[in-house]
Amino acid sequence: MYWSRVKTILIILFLCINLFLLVSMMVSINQTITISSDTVEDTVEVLKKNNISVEKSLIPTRMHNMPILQMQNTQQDADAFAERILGEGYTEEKDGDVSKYTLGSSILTVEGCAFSYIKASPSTAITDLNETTVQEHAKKVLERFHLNTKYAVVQAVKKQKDGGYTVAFSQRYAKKDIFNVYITMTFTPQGLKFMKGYWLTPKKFTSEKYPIRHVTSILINFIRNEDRPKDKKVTITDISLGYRADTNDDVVNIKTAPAIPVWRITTDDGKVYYYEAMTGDYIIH
Amino acid sequence: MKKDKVKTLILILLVANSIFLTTQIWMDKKLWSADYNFFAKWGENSIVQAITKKLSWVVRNGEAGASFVNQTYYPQKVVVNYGNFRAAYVNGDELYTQSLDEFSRALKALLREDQVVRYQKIEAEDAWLNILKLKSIYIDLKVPYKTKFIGQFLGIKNTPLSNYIKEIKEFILVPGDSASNDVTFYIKDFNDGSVAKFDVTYDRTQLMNLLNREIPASTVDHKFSFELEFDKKKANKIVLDSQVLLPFNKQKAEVIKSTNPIQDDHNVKNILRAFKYSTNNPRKYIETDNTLVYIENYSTLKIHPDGLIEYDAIEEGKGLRLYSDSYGNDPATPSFQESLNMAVKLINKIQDTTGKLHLSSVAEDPDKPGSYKFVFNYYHNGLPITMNLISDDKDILSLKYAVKVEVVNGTLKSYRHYVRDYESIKPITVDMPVPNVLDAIYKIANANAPYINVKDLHLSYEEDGQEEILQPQWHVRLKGVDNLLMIPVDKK
Repeated sequence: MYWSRVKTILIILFLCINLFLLVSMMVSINQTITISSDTVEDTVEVLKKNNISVEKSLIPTRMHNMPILQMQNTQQDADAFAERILGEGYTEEKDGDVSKYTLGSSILTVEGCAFSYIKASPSTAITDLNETTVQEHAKKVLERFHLNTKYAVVQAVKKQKDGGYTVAFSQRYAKKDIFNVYITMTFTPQGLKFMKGYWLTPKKFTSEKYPIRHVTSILINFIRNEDRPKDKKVTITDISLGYRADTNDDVVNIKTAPAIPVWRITTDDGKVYYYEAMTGDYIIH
Repeated sequence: MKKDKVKTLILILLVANSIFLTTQIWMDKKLWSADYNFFAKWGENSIVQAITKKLSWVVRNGEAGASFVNQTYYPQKVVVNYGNFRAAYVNGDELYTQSLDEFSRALKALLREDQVVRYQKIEAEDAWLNILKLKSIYIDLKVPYKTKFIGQFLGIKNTPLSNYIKEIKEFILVPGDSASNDVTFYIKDFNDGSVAKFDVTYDRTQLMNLLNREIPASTVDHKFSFELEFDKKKANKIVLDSQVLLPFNKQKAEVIKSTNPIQDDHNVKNILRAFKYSTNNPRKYIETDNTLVYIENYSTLKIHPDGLIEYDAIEEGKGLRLYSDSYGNDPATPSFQESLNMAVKLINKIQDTTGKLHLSSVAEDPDKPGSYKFVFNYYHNGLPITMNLISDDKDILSLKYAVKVEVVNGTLKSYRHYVRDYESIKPITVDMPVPNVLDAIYKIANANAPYINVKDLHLSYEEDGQEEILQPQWHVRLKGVDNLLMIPVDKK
């Protein structure tokens, strides 16, 4: 009877210990970092002394551990991609990893996930071309070319001097922007004239999550950034945490590639600076 | 009573689970920030690593490792002239080991640092071929090695012999006269083809016992082409180099199966660990042909689906530090032997290659001390496996060897390894007399040429990366660069 009671007590005790350990583990995995307002103020002050101004409200104060985002290339067959864009009867020239396809006045160049398409004399007239309709036209063209637009978002629409419009697409997955994956398309009333892009599609997050660097330490690193103009004052206009497809010259024919969490700092002179969120390393691009 | 047993069981489970969860929290790197992984870092501590290494030695003792280093520079064949006939032994034969051991002991005596070299240059043009007819042990290394490297193979750092001969490819060891009880080495200088005679004070009893053995000639008899006048441009349309060794009996060989052992994540993780890559490396790419690409530590590692591993350091000197594994103190400029040991250790971490890989060539950059390129090739029961890969992948197509390791001052610069396992399927007897082989060469080679000059002829396997079952073939090297013929054998 005595032992039975001891066992009951021990079971309750170990249940509590297990619960505590499990919660600790979950907290460690989904760690949330909160930066105090004092730290933010100190960082702003240090930046100011180094000719960098930033609004306190732009600095995020809560951050979570982040997984890696796996990206996939849905255009692995360059010839099939060329046929969808140019149609049959094109000629192909290869120079290392670069394939150049030509059909009449249309030229398509493909190098892995990067492509560029020029149609010197477009012939598919668009009668209702304006800032709103151009987005729909662009999406339809991308779907016709079998470019996955599930996570595509319009980043900017700009009117050109010749009456045409340029539409820039990027991707967003689980509320996070993927910064260096893009497609830019230029339409004239005669149709699609130019298209350029580096296109990978988000597949899924890895199960593992990685701790990320405090944005304040990234901002301190930014002071020493060699690419930042030192002779004039700069103002930080945006600080975002997102993903950047990890492009590498050694890997051209990508099937899947990782997208790494990155901090993006945008300044008032239009420049952007990327820092690896896991290591704090500056990404030279 | 039953209730009590259930309580005990629950208690045991809860205790076990709490131990498991505590271990996870303490040890799992992922649960600690990059700057603070106290327990995980313990595993990387040099003292902890040294203790783990000592403990693992007990388990690993007797495995490949050190003995492999010796086997890497084993010659393909040891040719023993018994006087009335000549035998060629390959690795795996009992007499191969005995003959090579005796030869190595005598060679070590010649290369010794305190050795007074008794040297005599042989002027006669046909002297070398005449010596080959004597009772002797003949070894052809197939490629020339610097004399100092041969010394280092045998543990002699600076041999005085390198003052006389710079590069060696062939040796003949003959017993000297009975009065002195010495032995004599005849060595061909690879650079000018001259022959030198070196008398060595050495107890020749063992050598004499070896050369006087009663061996049944019928199984092993070989002749050099010059002895049969196959090297003369008379009526022969096919002219063999004087020292092509020709078998005069049926040859025992095996049909073998070639497999790629890199089949799953476990193998890939082992490879990553060998190159000190994190197995949780987030920077993993998959190329369209399913090649895995990892980028870490200033280097790129590619694992092709057909078994090719490629490693390249982004910059010389920034690659994998090999010497930290082997040596307590970082040597400023590791020697040739140290660099070779490092290369072999790395290969063994990727694949257990005991007795399967042999060193095929060594290149040293004369302008950069400590820079070496080592090339290894597969052998199966003494027969070489020639790489002649067929692939759409240009990296694989250009591969003419099994492993190439480039080491610069103890740091890995580049690494290529076509990983293959070979296993015997069935024994066969190759019954193809030399004249039939020569006929087959004549049929395949350019019959319009006045003479077809054969530089080398031996049995080997051809690995093309496509066929799983490999048959032994006659490997014929014709005069000219990359002029190879593979002739199927008649087998029984």
